[in-house]
Amino acid sequence: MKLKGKGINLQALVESGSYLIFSLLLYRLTASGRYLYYVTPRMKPYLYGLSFLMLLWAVVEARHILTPRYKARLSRTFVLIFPILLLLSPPPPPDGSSMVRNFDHTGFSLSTKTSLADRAGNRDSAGAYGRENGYQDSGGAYSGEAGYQDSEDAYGREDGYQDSEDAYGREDDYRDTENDGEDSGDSEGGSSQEAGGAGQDGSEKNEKISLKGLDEKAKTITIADEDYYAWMVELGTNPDRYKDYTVSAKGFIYRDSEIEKRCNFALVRLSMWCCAADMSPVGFLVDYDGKVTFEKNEWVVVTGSFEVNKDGSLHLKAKSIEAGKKPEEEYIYPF
Amino acid sequence: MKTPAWIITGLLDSGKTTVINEMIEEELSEQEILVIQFETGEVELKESLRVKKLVFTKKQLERSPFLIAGMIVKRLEKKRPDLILVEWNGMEHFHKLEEIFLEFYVKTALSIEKIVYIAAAAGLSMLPAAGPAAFSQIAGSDCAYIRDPDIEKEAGILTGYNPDIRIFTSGKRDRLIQRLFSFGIQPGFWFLAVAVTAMIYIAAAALLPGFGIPVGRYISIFLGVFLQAVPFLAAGVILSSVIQVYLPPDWIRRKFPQNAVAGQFFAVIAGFCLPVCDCASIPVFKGLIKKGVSMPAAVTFMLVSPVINPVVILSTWYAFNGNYKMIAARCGLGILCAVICGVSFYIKPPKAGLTVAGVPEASVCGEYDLLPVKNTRFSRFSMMLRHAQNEFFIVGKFLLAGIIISTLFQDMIPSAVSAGGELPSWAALLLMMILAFVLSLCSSSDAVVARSMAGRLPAGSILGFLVFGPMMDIKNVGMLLSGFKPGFVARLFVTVFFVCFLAVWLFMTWGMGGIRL
Repeated sequence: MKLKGKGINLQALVESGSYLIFSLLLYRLTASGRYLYYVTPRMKPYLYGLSFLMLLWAVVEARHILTPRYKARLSRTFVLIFPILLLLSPPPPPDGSSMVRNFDHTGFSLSTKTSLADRAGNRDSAGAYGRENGYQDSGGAYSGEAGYQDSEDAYGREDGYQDSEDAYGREDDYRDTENDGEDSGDSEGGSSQEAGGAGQDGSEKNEKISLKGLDEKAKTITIADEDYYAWMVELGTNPDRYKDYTVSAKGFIYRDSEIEKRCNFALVRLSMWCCAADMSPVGFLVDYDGKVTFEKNEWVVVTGSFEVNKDGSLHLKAKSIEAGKKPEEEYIYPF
Repeated sequence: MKTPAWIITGLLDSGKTTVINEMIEEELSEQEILVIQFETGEVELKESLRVKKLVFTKKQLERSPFLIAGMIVKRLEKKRPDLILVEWNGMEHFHKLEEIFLEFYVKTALSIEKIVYIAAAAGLSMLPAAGPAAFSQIAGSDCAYIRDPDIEKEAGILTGYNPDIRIFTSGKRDRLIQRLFSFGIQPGFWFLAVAVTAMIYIAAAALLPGFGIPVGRYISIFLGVFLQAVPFLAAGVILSSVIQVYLPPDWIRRKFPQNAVAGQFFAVIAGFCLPVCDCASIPVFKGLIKKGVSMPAAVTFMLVSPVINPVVILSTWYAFNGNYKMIAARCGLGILCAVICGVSFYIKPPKAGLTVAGVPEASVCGEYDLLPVKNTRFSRFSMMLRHAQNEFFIVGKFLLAGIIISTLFQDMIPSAVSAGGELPSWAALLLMMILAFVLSLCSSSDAVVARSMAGRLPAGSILGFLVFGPMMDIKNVGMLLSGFKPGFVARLFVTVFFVCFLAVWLFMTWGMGGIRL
């Protein structure tokens, strides 16, 4: 009889089952894109890898299911059972405002990198400024990857990173030109970049692709969902260039006591730097003459004229506020 | 009906038969008992009307274990005793016993209730040389009975083979008997526990938001940190298992520089070459200690690798807009602090740090209950995977606890940061180090978080966040506790904390090397 010497190994059965279920749930989470609520796209290959490892472990463990064993350490499986429960019926992602983790609560600059006032302070030193622009290039090149959000895995992002390194590498001669033209101010930024020579062409092209929605004749900017962060960087770095443009952007309504002191509400999207533990809002402060009928957390499209406050926060004087559809990718992933 | 059975096992001459005789005379004086012996020692079993015995020789056991199973069941069908006592041969692998007594057919007639490992004081010291059969028996036992009083300390060696084993010395014989007669937790209990957990979870998710507790946010944060940590943990346990299984026992010890300075240097280089975050470096650290790498070098390696590896350097470079001074400061201070902490272990070596001490090298796997495998490529691979699984669960449960605690702390953070702006620089530094500890971020991406706080706090405190955070945080402490004694973890924590604080503070007072954020 085949069953001679065979018995049930409860521990192997439970563990193998848990590995399998965890693997499948993890795969489902990653493939469906819902993992983006918790971690950044950078983690995608790692999550697939973990899912595969769990499947492998499930198979290895399954070989022992019929090897009888007296001891069954079952409690340790809770390490997997607990996440399985959470993944099995994940709660609906909480509304935007409650996820805000703003470390940067200085008199409000719902800023891109850090408070822009801080940045303005650095502008005195040519070195820092040059670096700043190097960064801006990288921002352009980065989202220039035909939609950074779409890039499938870490490697795509790696490329984006390489570009930015190139831009940085070119910084030396770039900084020279910057020194020459320093007095001419920010608005010269674009032209001095062109003066940087042939090497700049690549990133220049990228910048044009990334910043679509710009209509210089009509002085309007229509920010698409996927360009949101690129535009915020651009608007934050060269605010003067876009003064009095009409900007149309989509975000959700965010309020807190400090914001309400200064304007009607903030139009923001959440940026995830590392994981769901550190989401900070990026967006505009919005003033509106009429009555705002939208509630907190509702997604709206605000069209208004753009200006920048003394502290560096971006401001929209709203002409219209319309209901908007929540973007497919709710958060933005700058890093 | 199933007949309950107790298994008595232990080395030759450890006094198994004596213990059985004692029990039959005292505690089991009214029961009808069947004793199944797989060896006959010097002491004779006292048979009587109510005590019968069934003896199988080593030859029978080797030739046809399944025949034995059949014979036992037939014997039970004829006449059922109240209790079966099995005296298992000390030289036979425990797996064989499981094959006989736990196979489907036998399980219908008999159920193993307790397994007791018997040892004498003299036998304990010989244990490390006793071979896989003895290890497998210890690993499979519920409790151990030491036939001498007052040697609990020496008996601790048994926990090295089976962390769950309950040890009783002869002074506590009554407790042992009490335990034998009590029921253990039935497997069914665990299914119930899972069901109850699920129910609590569903109820909490549905009810708590009504009380203003943002369960959804806690779960999102938990899953965020968890999903980011676990792939690296998996990588770490795999790497650690590869070290354990594939490298010859003393290979690392032989190759590792004996010279203290060279050892430290080597540890820093190795830390640079291991592109993983803190979740992975701790299992590897455990593996290195088990393999006999000297403690100071291993500590340096563990502390330095999450700070200075290429992935972390790149992410810092990106987060701080290519501010190379920041990178240099982070790496430099990281290396400095790690080396000082490592060297402190030369100056004052800890008493044995590993909770699992004294386990011989040969038993790398901790899976003594498996049959000794043939040394083929496949068997080594599967042994590596099993080792990794074990390690994953051991470290994982502490990681999970760490993440849960740090999730519950998250709400304090924004207010703590905004409070930090008004503090003097040393207090801001302290605050950021505490924050780094509580946040438990992955070192491969904490730089961006630090950058987002930089507008508000002095640059030095940010540096403290970046240097201390990867070395010590809630989840790291949890993971360390999975393999090391609390005293050791506390000593390491205190050392790292003070060294980091002093190093960064001195750096701050000496002008930060001109770093501006």
